[in-house]
Amino acid sequence: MALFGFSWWTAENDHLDWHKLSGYGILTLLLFRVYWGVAGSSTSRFTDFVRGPRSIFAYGAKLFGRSGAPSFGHNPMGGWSVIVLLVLLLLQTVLGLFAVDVDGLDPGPFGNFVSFDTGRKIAHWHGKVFNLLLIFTGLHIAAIAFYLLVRRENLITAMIVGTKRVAIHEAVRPLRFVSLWWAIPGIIVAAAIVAWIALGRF
Amino acid sequence: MRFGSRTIGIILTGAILAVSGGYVAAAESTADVIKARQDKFKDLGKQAKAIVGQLKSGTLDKAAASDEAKKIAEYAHDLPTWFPKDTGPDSGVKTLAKAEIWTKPDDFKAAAEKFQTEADKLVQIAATGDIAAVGAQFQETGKACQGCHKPFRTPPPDDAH
Repeated sequence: MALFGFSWWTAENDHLDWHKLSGYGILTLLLFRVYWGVAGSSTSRFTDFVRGPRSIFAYGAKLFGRSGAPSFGHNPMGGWSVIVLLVLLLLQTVLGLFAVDVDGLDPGPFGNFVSFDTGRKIAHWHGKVFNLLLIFTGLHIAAIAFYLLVRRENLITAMIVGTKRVAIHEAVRPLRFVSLWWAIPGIIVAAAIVAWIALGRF
Repeated sequence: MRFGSRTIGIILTGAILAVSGGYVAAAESTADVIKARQDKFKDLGKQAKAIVGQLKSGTLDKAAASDEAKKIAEYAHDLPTWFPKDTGPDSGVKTLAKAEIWTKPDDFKAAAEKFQTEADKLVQIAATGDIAAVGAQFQETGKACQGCHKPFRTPPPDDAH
């Protein structure tokens, strides 16, 4: 989130060099998250939180009820919010790699693969997708605030430490936490891919 | 009488067309000037990107870089003629050109001359084919571009700048 804000600020203030570093940082995190979505702890896995329309509606119906539907990890609606944000952020960083600035002085690292005009169009989409991201991150944060203030569920702590207080009668599904050692190969591979993009001579 | 009124009709129609045509031509010429200017700046961007691309890839094509540098220098020397009066933000045509171009003509002239000096140097250095030297001089030329864009151009809207 800090990098997202920083990317916006550096773009607005013509600090394209920092903007690129910020984008590389975001891309590294995204690639790691994709890896963790396959190899990570159970609540992080895509197979765990990507649900069909039926469970989304069932969950949504209970959302405003007194007890609400218990859930661990991303709930059926939040799961899709995560997917949308991941896809949009990936799209945004990939567009950024090909984007060309208005003066042609500081194209993205893959600028050589596109013409000036194409690169300018991509830069334009890079601006549009940012607006979409504002909407969906806003929605995501608003939902978290709703849980915190209305439903008294702290999803932020749950995200960071992986634990959550639940009522005793709620059905608890076993969670499996993968050792954090497993994160290391993901971090290394993600960083290596981004370093190759940033430093490669294309 | 019938023939007469028809003749008058033709003459009147002709007169109206001529007058309105004149207005259209006048309105178009401002838009044309601005469009032509924008096209030249876009082409400048293209040349810049082409040189940046070679610097990034690590191999400089001496002939191509020389051509690109020459084009940039040509544009640099021509640039002061691209901003005739009444082609600014008050012209009614969309343009990023700021009013300061016309209210601070000395500053604008100085910025354009700085660009010309740096672009001329770039042409000389491009002819050597020395990629490190071209890279360094290209930086200076780029700074001259920005030195003019910051005070005299409205930031491009809703875009990566």
